[in-house]
This record gives sequence, structure tokens and C-alpha cells, in this order.
Amino acid sequence: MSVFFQLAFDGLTIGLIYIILAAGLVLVLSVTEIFFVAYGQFYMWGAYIAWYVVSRFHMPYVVGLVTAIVATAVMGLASYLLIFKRMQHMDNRFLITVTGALGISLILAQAVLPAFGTQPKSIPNVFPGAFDVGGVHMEVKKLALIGIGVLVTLILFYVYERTKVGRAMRAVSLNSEVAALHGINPSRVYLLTMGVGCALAGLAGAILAPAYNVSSGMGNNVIATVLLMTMLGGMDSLLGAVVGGFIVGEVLSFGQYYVHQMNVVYLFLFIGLVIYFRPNGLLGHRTDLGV
Amino acid sequence: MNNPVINAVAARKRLIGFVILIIFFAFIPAWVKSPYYIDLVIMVMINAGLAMTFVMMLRTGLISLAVAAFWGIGAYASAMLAMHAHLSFWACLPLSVVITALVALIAGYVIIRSAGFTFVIMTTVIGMLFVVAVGNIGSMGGYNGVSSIPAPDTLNFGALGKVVFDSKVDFFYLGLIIFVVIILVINAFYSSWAGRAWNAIGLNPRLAQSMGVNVFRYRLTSFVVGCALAGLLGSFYAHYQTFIIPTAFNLFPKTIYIQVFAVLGGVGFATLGPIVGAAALSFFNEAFSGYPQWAIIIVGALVLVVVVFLPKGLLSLWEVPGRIRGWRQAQAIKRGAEAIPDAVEPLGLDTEGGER
Repeated sequence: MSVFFQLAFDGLTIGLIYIILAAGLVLVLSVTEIFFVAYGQFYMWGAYIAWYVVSRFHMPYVVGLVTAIVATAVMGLASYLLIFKRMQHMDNRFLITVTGALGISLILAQAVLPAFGTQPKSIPNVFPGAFDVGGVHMEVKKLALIGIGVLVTLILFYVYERTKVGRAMRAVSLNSEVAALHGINPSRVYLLTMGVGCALAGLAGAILAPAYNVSSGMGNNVIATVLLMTMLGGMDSLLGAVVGGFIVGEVLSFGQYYVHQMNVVYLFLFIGLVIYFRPNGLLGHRTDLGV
Repeated sequence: MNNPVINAVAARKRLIGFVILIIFFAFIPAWVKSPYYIDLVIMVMINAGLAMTFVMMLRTGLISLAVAAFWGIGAYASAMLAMHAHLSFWACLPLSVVITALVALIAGYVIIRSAGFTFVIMTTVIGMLFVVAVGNIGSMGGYNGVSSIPAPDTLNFGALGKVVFDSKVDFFYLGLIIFVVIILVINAFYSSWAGRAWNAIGLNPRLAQSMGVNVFRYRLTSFVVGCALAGLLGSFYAHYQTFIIPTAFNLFPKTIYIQVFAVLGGVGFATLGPIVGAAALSFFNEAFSGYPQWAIIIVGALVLVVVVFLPKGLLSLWEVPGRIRGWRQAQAIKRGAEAIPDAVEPLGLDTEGGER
């Protein structure tokens, strides 16, 4: 039984990273309608920036976390202002925005090498210690990850469902023209959403940095899984992102133990079946993306 | 467009341009001796061919992110037939096309019903599933891939001599023939009944359906033909490279790159666009290869510049002088209008009214 709980715990740890990533991507996809393939690179940059601030300047971890969030948010805002803002009304929007996102992805993925070097990194000794509860080995760094992850998810839900800003986001994602008629400035909401979405990616990277390794390939590795997970939960549903992230995290954790590498195959097959029978995802309402 | 004379003239112009392009390609080995650059040109042809199949599916409104996966299916089918069934390359090539087409037919029959963004997601799933599935099947080499795939057998033409595939130049000409075949097949489809139906579906699927076009069947045709051509390129690629690994056929970045080739050249230009796009990106990569750390960053920046300022692709560059001239004329008219308001007064209208 302790194996079960151990696997569930590990799945929850990695699942929370996925949940935060998927939540940010849901915001970007549903509000700005950009198929943002560069998203994984923001996650990688968040992890690298947190590592850099903590290990080079010997700052407390919180400073690294905040720096990572602010820096990735600024990068997201810049990419929207410089590139995607001009594409909002072009023909063939889907293809053009994917190409633009790939350009950003190339730049960000490569720029990390001259900036931080090619070796994998990790932040040591931020949350030392570990303890056993009923045979489950819990490291404090993973517990901290879970704590921060749950907190951020709750804040995000509150903002999205209860505040004026969140309502504006939902209105624009439903129909930007009608939202504009009601006095919401869609371009400002797009800008804000890109900032928040990319900041969430940076945050996910930054809270991953103490618990796992940081490497230059992690952005590319994660983006496809996160995209599929978003489709699984529903492209315009935050709750769907949480469900999708949780399912994927647990399936990967249990699958790794019981069926080894084949778990990814089963996971993708499962996601394909779900999307085939429910094109909107488990909890979503809508599937077009300007295609 | 409906004038048959103009159509014939345009078709002849296109044919002449095509022949000149092929002759230009055919003479490349005459002045490029380095095997490295020959290899580069072969890869440009493969990438351009894949991008053409992407554009072809795009014609009917299908954005397929599984191009690289079907390319990989062709490559793996050919490699498996050559390694385990000990077939010659000349048997593997058509067989792999048939296998890819069958897989595409089954997959397309299931997923094309849901066009639009769902199709994009489903092809994404296929693209990723292919890599992890092949990577986990031990008998297909797993993530280590398949190596030492045999080269094509010697072709014996009797009195005309033999063709031995032992250098890059031989492969270059084989690749060129395959490339030409692909261009011809695609253009034959475009100018046929099916191609016109594809255009109609791409413009407005519902209107096309109401006109009696079977949208599902024509979409399926374009998907199967596109995937089969990708499989043809895959078979060639496998025997040319002699080793293949599943991650070479991944969604990120291979399919996205294929799509970028198409968009860079311009999706409105079905044949020339992908060639220009693939060639331009390889050229950028080569031009900055002196600074390996910065090359990819510069390429990314150039992609952004092109896509922001020339959203219709590099081939729409020739429209730019005309656009500038038109803008200048408009400015001149506006300036003239400010200087002498009466100069632009339309003729035949009430000029005595005074108040305007």
C-alpha cells in the first residue's frame, strides 16, 4: 500500500507542475487564440532564471521565484507587443501565429546556451530534509512545490472566476467583439493574458528548479505533453486544466512503475480516444482556434 | 481566369518555368563538388517536398501536424521491408508508398469527419503517438533507431550502362527524379477535377457541399495523396541516410519546421513557395554557421521578421514595389488634392454648388 501512496505523491508533485503549465496555456489559448508552441521555453527560462539568481547572487529562493515570474511575464508581454499584436487580424491566422511562435521558440531555446551554459543545473539545499509518513518518503522540497502549486492554483481560480479582470478575460475568450461593445479593451486583455500565462510558465519552472534538474531541453520535452493535456481537459476550462494535469501526472507516475516506457503510448492513445469522442475535451465548450 | 487562351498561356509559362527550374537543379552537381553541399540540397528537396504535401492538404482546409509522422511511417516501412524481408529498394519504394497510403486512409477515415481544430489536435496526437510507439517497439529498433539500411541496388540498363548508388551525386539525381515526380503528381491533381473541388472546399466547405461536392471524400483524397507522397520521400530518406531514429520524425520541431517552410515561402504558392521556404531557411542556417551559438537565434529572428512584415511569404516580395508605387500615387493624389482642391473634382458632377 505504501508503494501506491508513494506513486500518488510523486504523481501529484509532477502533476502540479503540469497543472500550472496547463492553466497558463489554457489562458493563452482561449483568450488570445494563439497556438503558442513557444510556451515550453518560458517554462525553461523560469527555471534557469530562478537557478541563476539563487546560485550566483546567493539570494533567498523567494527572490529567485519572483524574479523568474517577473522576467517571463515581461518576455511574454514583449512577444505579444512586438509580434502577435500585428497578427491578430491577418488571414491564415493559425499558420502565421504558429510560425511566429516557432521563431520565438528557436530564439529562446538557443539563447539559454550562451547565457547559462550547456550543463544541467539544480538548486541545492533550498528546502533540505525529508521524512517518512506511513512508509511514504516525502522530501521537503517536493512538499514545498506542492504547497506553492496549490496556492497558485487557488489564487488563479479566484482571479479568473471572481474578479473583474477574470470576468473580462472570460468575456474576451467568449467573443472579443461583444466584449469590446461592453467597454472591455480586448487588446489590453490579450496583453494581460499573455503576461499572466507566460508568468505561470515561469513560475512552474521556478518551483521545479529546487526539486528536479534544470536542462536546456526541458522546454521542448514538456510542450507537446502540455498541449495534449490542455486538449484533454478542454481548451477553455481552467478546471479542465487541473483535471488534465492531475490525470497526466498520476498516469505518468503509476505507468512508469507498472508498464515502464509504454505508459506514454497508452496515455496518448487515451487522450486521442477522449478527444475523438469529446472534441471539446472533458470540460471544455469550444474547439476552434481561428482555423 | 475563365478565358481558355489566357489559361493556356499561363500554363505554358508555368511549364517553361518548371523546366528551367529542373535544369537548374540538374546542373547543381556540375559546379558544386563538395558532398556536404550536395547533402544540403538533397535535404532541401526532401523538406520542400514535405512542405508541398502540407500545402496540398491545406488547400482543403486540413492543417495536418502529422506530416513528419507519415514521412516516418514511409521511412520505417521501407527500412523494415529492406532489413527483414530483404527486398530491394526498388520494391520497397512503391510498397512503402502503398503502406503509408493505407495507414493514411484508415487514420483519415476516422479523423477527417471532424475538420477544423479537432483535426489539428488529432493529427498532433498521431504525430506524437508515432514517435513514442516506434520508440517503444524493440523489434523496430526502439529509440536507438534502425541502422545500416542497404543502399539501392545497382540499376543495369544493359548497353546504356549501369547506375551504382555509391556517391551523393547518384542519390542527388534519384532524389531529383522523386522530387519532380512529386511536383508533377501534385500539379496534376491541382489541374484536375479533384483539384478544383479542393479549391472550392478550401474557400468555403459548406458552399462546396451545397454545390454537390462530397467534402469528406475530397478531403480524404487530399489527405491520403499527401501522406502517400510523404511516405515516398520517407522511403528515399531512409535509404539515403542509411539510419533512422524515431525522434527525427517528431512533431517538435520537424512538423513545425515543415509548416514554417510552407509559410515562409507563402502558402498561396503551391509549388514554388515550399522550395523557396526550405531553401531560404537552409541558406540562413548556412550563412551564419560561422557563429554556431548565434546561428539559430538569427534564423529565429529572420523567421519573425518575414512572418511579421511579409505574411504572404517571401514570394510576395515581388508585390512590394507595386505596393510602394501605389502608396506613393495615393500620397501624391492626396497632396495634390490639398494643394488644388478642384483638381480632383469628379467630372460631370455639380460644380456650381459652392459648398462642399
